[in-house]
Amino acid sequence: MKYIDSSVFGKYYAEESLEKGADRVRAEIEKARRGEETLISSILLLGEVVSIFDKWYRRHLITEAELYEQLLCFAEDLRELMDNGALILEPISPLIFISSVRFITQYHISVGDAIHLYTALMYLPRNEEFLCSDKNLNLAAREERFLVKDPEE
Amino acid sequence: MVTLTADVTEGIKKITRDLVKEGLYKSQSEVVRDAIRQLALHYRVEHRIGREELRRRISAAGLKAGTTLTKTLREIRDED
Repeated sequence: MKYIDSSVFGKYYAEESLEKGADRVRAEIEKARRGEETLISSILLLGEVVSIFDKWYRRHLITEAELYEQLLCFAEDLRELMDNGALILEPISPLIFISSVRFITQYHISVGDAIHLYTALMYLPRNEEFLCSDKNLNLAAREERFLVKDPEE
Repeated sequence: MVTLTADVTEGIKKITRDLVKEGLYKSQSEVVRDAIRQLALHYRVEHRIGREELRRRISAAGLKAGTTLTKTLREIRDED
């Protein structure tokens, strides 16, 4: 079992030429697809990945057709991975939200980062690996004694 | 396997309970999975570009603009 942050999942949709570590991410997700690994994340991942592509559309980096095609690919991937039990997206309960707040001041991270970190902690000791390419979140996860693996490194 | 905690609002609990009770879904987690399916349908497009072509286009766009998907996520998180 591995925790996968949105910063890593997003890399699945780009080539190595743009996103360092994209090939490794692809290998991780394909491994889960084959049933050799279970990935966990917060349901927040859904909104965060959609927000990335929406922002690219607003910046005119991609067309409307590319945006919708991308979102369709993403939705299909989530559906398939969840149906196969390869991906668990943990809902954000009031308990998770309230419990994660302490991380904001403890590590000076965003509310989203704090929710990811607390959600990952809920699955300890089953998920010792924390897959993340966000430097701020990685620092906090290391403090919480996760084995942080950044595909970029 | 999909996990679903019980800490959702009463309104959502009632809706999911009713859907399960009416036999439309086997469980609450099935409701979540179907919501994802609905999202896929919502974004359905006329002509598929194809996954690899899409990856190529996303990468070319990012290289041209000097940004990455990871950097964009960081910006979004810093906006809160």
